[in-house]
Amino acid sequence: MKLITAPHLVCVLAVIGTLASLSFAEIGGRSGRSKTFNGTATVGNGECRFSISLEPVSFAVNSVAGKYKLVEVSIENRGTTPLVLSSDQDHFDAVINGQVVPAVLSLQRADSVLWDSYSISTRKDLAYPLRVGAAMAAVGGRDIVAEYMSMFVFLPADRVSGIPTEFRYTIASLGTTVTLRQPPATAQ
Amino acid sequence: MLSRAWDLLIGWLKSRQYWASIEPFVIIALGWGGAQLLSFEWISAASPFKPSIALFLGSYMSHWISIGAMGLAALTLLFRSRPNIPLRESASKFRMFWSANRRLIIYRGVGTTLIFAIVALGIHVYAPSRVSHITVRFMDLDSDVTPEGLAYLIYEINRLQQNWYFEINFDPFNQEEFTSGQVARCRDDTRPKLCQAEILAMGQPFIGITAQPLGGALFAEHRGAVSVITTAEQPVYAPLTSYEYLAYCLILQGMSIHLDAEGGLPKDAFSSDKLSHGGFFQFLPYKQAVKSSILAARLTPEEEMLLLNRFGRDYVATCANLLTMDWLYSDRVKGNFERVFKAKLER
Repeated sequence: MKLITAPHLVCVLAVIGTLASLSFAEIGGRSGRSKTFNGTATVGNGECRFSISLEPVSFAVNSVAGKYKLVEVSIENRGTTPLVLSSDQDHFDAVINGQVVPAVLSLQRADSVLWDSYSISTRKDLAYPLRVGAAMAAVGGRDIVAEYMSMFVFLPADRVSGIPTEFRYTIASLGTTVTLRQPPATAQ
Repeated sequence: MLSRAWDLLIGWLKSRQYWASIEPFVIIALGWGGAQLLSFEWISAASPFKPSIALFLGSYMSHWISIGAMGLAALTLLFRSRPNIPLRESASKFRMFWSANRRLIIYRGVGTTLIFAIVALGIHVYAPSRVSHITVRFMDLDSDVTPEGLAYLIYEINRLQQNWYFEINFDPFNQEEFTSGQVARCRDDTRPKLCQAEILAMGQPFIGITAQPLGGALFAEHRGAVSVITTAEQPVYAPLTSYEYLAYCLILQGMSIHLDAEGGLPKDAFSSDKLSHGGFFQFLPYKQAVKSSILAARLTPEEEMLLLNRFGRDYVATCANLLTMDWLYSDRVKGNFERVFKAKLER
């Protein structure tokens, strides 16, 4: 005599699936809370888009060695010339509670002890890039294939008193400051 | 005429009393000569590399044949000699033969083992070495060279290789990745780009390509298993394109790295000299002559000998072929460069 028949098995699987989705819903219950900041600049004859996504809880809780808040900046170059960057000459600031907090672009120079403690691959990931490649015209010249890159900047944790409301990114090669703001609420 | 003289010589030798003693050695000597001749013909027929007789006689293959012949002669001598050990005839079984001739068997057994060991050692000493792959990284490139164009050039070089190749690491180079100690070390180094390349190499054979000027050299620097090539002197090698220049430099630096790894790079390689005959490892006393070196690139007989004995026939054949640059100016490669990478290569 069979103890488990096909209808039983379907029911059991359905219950497990429901429970699993409930537990996932609990873990992912904070979805939609991330804050996104966007900005654009003109690079050559195209546009370069910058964006930052911050999850307030993890931003408040997490830090690098207890000294820095890590912010990831995504860059999408849709211009047909490369975007040249320089950790010497570029500046990145966060506006927090009305205060301007300058970020560290080169941990190698600003905190060599911490920097030297990282592995080669981590340093490679965290290093300030030299350039973002140019977009390429797709076949037929009707569209372009953008170049993507993400980079990290470090905000001194002792000066971060809340969630940033705005970021200002000065790129020396463009001679301009890009302001990254949250989109208006109606657009979210 | 020649065969008659030969017959006369052999006939005369056969009439001598000592002929029986020297006969096997004459046969071995004739075999040695025949093997040398056959090998020379084979190497000339089997690859584009055509060595001269003198070059062949100095090569590892000729040495192998000589070592083999000497081993054979030593074995013959061993089995013909019987120092105070009489051979006792024994029609009975193996054990009786062994007990009757033990000393002679041991003498010949030990002698044979020794001769084989010496021959094996000799062959090993003269054997060419295996060469390693070399990683190429674009540290920073000038606007007239694209990574994809340079990658194509390197892949074409690899197509002609049999035993080794250039591997490209496409990771963009960023000095920000270095530790503060590495940055300080290269800042104080008289050859900063070579220093950076050494760090990137992580102990492996490596060639870095940069558009920045080097510390002391105009075109390339080399130390141990690492080289760095610069295109900063582009006006000097113009109207040649950077692709032609880099093809030449990559082949040269590849050979330098392989030779250095084997301790075979000539001591006077690239050392300052006012005279130049266009040799591959020669210093260029007049920088504009780099164009002349590229266009008339060749291996001298000494360089051929060096590479042949270090790395074998295939290696020297490939290098000689690469240096002609005929492959670069073939319709297929030239056409691809013009159509895809917008670079016009003309001879």
